[in-house]
Amino acid sequence: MRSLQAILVLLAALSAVSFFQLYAQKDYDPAGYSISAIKTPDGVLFAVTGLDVEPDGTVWVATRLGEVWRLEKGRDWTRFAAGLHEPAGLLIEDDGSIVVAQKPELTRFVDLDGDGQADEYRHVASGFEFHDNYHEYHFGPVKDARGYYHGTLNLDHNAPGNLSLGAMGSLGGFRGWAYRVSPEGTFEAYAMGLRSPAGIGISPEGDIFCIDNQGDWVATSKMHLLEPGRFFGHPVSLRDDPGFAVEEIRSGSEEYFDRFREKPVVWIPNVEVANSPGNPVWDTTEGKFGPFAGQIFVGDQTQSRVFRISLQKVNGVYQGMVVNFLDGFRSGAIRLCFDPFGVLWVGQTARGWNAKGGELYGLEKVTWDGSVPFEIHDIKLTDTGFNISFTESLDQTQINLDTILVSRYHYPYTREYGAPKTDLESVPVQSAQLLVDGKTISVKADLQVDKVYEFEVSGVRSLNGRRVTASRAHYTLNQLVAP
Amino acid sequence: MTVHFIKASSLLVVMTLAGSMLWAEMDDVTLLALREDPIAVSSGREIYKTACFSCHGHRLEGGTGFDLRDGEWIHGGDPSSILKSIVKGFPEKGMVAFETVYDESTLANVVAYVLSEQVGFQDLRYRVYRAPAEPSNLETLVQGLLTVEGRLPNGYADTSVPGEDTFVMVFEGEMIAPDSGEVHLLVSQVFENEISVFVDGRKSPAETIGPRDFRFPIKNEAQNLRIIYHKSDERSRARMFLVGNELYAPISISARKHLAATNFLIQPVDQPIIVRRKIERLPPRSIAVGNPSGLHFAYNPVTNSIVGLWEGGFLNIGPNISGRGKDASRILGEWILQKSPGIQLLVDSEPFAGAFQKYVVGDQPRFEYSDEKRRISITSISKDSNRVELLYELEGFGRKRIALTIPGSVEAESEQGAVLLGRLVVDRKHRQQFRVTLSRSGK
Repeated sequence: MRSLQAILVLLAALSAVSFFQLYAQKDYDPAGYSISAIKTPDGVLFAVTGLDVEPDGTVWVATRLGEVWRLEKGRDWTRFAAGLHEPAGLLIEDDGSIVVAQKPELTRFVDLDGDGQADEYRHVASGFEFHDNYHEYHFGPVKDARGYYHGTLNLDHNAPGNLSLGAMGSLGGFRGWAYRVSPEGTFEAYAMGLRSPAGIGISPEGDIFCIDNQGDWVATSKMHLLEPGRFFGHPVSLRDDPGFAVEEIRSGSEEYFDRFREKPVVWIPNVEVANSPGNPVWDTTEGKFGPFAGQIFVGDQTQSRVFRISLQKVNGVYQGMVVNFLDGFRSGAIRLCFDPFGVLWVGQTARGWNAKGGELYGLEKVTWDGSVPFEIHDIKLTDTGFNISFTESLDQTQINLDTILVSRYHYPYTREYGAPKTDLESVPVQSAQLLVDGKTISVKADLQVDKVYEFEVSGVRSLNGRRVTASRAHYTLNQLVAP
Repeated sequence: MTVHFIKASSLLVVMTLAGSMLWAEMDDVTLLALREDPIAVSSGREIYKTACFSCHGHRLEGGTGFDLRDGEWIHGGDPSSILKSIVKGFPEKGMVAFETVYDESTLANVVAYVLSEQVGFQDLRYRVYRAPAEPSNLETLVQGLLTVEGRLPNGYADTSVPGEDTFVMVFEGEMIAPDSGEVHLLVSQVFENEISVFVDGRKSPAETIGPRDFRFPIKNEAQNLRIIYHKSDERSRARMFLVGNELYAPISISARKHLAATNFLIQPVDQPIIVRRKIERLPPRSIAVGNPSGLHFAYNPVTNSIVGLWEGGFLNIGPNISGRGKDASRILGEWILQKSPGIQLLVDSEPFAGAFQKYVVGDQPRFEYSDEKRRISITSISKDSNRVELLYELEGFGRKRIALTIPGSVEAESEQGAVLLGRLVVDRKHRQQFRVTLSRSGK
C-alpha cells in the first residue's frame, strides 16, 4: 500500500503551553535507574496510549491521535496505520498483525503486501455500546493462554440520559465491564462495577488484573483480579446485568451494593502513590531490570511516576504491597512495557488531564545500570506480622521497635468522589528482628483484615549507611495467614 | 504552526491555465454595487467554490488561507484592494495571480460574493472604565471614570486592551449577522452578571447554556450591537461567538485564539484518507472517507450503510483532539446527506443483516460485511468534480432482488439500474456487481 498522502495542518501548536515547563521533580530516585527520552516523529502529536515490544526489540505504539507507529532498532519511526478513534491499548500478535483497542472497536491491522503499512483494518469485536462520549475509553487488549482477548470499558461522563449516581454514568451496553473475545470472535462481557479501568495486564501465571481509577464510588485507585461474575463496586454498570432494574440501582444504598462487592487486591493511596494509574506489567526480565523480578510495575498519569506492586496469595486470595519506585517523567506515565533487554518503556500523555511532568506527551525508557539500589524490596504477611525485606543488607545496630513505624487504615465504600484514609491509627510494633538473610526485618504487630497497613521505614539504614528513597509502603490485608 | 504534509496540488490546477490579460482596475463604488446584485454574487460563489475554498474554507472561515468573513484584511479591506489581492495573488505565499485564470468581471463577482458574506463587527469602537473587582450593576459602572477609548480596526472585540485584572469595557459597532434563522451572540467562559448585550439600544435577555456560557438573541441582519463586559474574576475569558444552527464566526480575539488552537484540518490530496472520530451529526462508530474529488462520505459499520455525504473540505478533527476531546470533529464542506441508514443496500426490500468485517485502505477503499454464507463489499472510487463511485460486489444472494436506498438530496447514476421512488433498483443481470455514482442532487 502506498503511504497516505495528506495535508494535515495544525494551525496552533496544541502543546505550546507545555513546552517550557520543567519535568516533574524527583522524589523517588532509586540508585542505578535512569530515564532517557525517545525521540518521537517530528511534528506528530505522539501521546502514547498503546505500547508493546516484539522479541527483537521493535517497539510498537498507538497514539491518542489515532495512529500506530513502529520503531525498529537502528531505524526511524514508520507509521503503520492511521485514522483510529483514540486508541488506549495495543498488542502485537505472533503472526505479525497488530490488535488495537480503539474507542468504537477492537481492531486488527494487517500488512498484506509487506510494505510496512497496514492494508486491512479488520473488525475483531464491538459487542459493547459506544455513544461518542469522550470518557468512553476502551482499554486493552491482553491475550490469555486460550487465545481470548480481554479488555475493559470506561463509564461515560455527563452523557445525556445516562444512569449516573455521581460523576460517571452509563447509557448501557456494558460500560464499566470487563469483556473477553474468543478466538472465534464471540464477545462476552464477564465482570462489572468498574469506573475508569485505565489499565489491564496479565500475570505470568495467566491471571488477569485491571486497575481502576479513583473517583465516585472508588475511594482510591485499586487493582482487581478479573474473574467472571465479579462486581467491583461502581453500581451503574449493573444496568447491563439482567438481575438488576435501573430503579433498583438508582435507589440502592452503599450498604446494599457492599454486600456483593469484590474487594481490591491492593488499594493504591491517592496522590501519595497515584491518581490515574495505567496498566500493570510484570518484571519478567529475570534480573535484567534489577532486584524486583516478578513484581508489578505501574505508571501514574498524574504524578508522572512509576510505582511497584508485589502480590502475595493468602488462602487463595491475592493481596500485597504498593510502594513508589521512580518519578520525574516528562508527561503522564500511562503505558508501560518491558522490552526483551530488560528496559522499561514508558508511554505518556497529559492531554485533558494534567500531569506533573509538564509535557503534553512523551515516550521514555528506564534502564538499570547494574548498581544495587537501596529500597524496600517486598513486604509479606506472616502469621504474626510482616516481613519487610530490603534490596541490600541492613545495619543491625539501627534496628529497634521504632525503626519501622506501622499504622493502619481502611478505605470506605462510598458514592462520594474519592475518600480519605479512614480510622488511621498507629499500630505498636511488638518486636522487630533482622532475619538471617540480613535484608529482612520481621515485625510482630496486631493484624486485622480489611485494613491497609502502612510502613514508614525512613529509620532503616543499609550496612553502608544508605537510606531508601521511597520510604513508605502500603500492604492491603484481605486474608490472615493461618498460624 | 505545525505542517505535517504539505502539497499545493490544488493550486496547480489553476496555474496551468495561465494566460496574460489586460487589467483595468474597478473602483469601490462599482464593487459595492455588485454586492447587491444576486447574479453577480451567485456567479462569484461558483468561482469561489472552484478556486478558493480549498485554502479559505467552504464557508470563507479560513484554513491555510485567511478568514474572509471578518473585518481583518491584511492586504487592505476596501473592495478594490480585495480585488487587487485576488488579481495579483501572493505567489510567494502559495496564492496564484488569478488574472492568469479569470477575466476582470469574473473576479469582480468573487469580490461581490466575499463582500456579501461578511459577518461580525464593522466600525467597532471600545471604551474602558475603571471598575471594582466585585460584581456590580453594569449600567451604573459605565457611568464611572472613562480611562481609555478607541477603535478596533480588525473588528474583533479585544479584552486585553485595558491590561488590568478588573475593568469594565464597552464594545459598540455595526454587527452584521447572517440573514437566515435565529442568531445569537454566545459568550463563553464568563461569570454571571459580567456581560450585558444591547441590540439597537434594547437589552437582549441572557440565556444560560452552561456553567459559564450565556447566549443573547440578536437580529439576523445589520444592527447596532453594544456589549458591556465587567471582568471581575481572573478566570473570566469572555470568548464571544456569533452562532446560529452552527458556529458562524468568532467576534472576539479570545474566541479567535480559542478556535485557532482547536484547528487540525485533514484534507485528502491525491489519495483517500479514512478517519474514525466523533463527527458532528454522524452516528457513533462512523468511518469517514475523504476523497481527493471533494465528495466525502461516512460509512457506518452498525447499519453497513452510507450515513453521511458532504462536498468541499474534509474534516477538522481539532475539537475532538483538544483537551479531553469532548467536542465533535467538524466537516469542512457542506452536507448533502446526514441520515441513518442513508444509502443502504436492500435484499428483497430488507437490509442484509451481515456483520461488518473490515475495511481496506488505499486508492480505492473497500468495506466488507457478511454472514456465514453471503458477503457484500463496497469499493469507493474517487471521481472528479465532487463525485464518488461505489462498486457493490455481492456473493451468495442468488436471484434475490437488489436495490439501494437513495435519499432525495443525493443524485445517483448507474448504468446497471434505474432510480425509482428513492431507490436504485439494480438490473437482474447485474445483481452480483453494479456501480453507482453519487453526487449532490440537482447539480
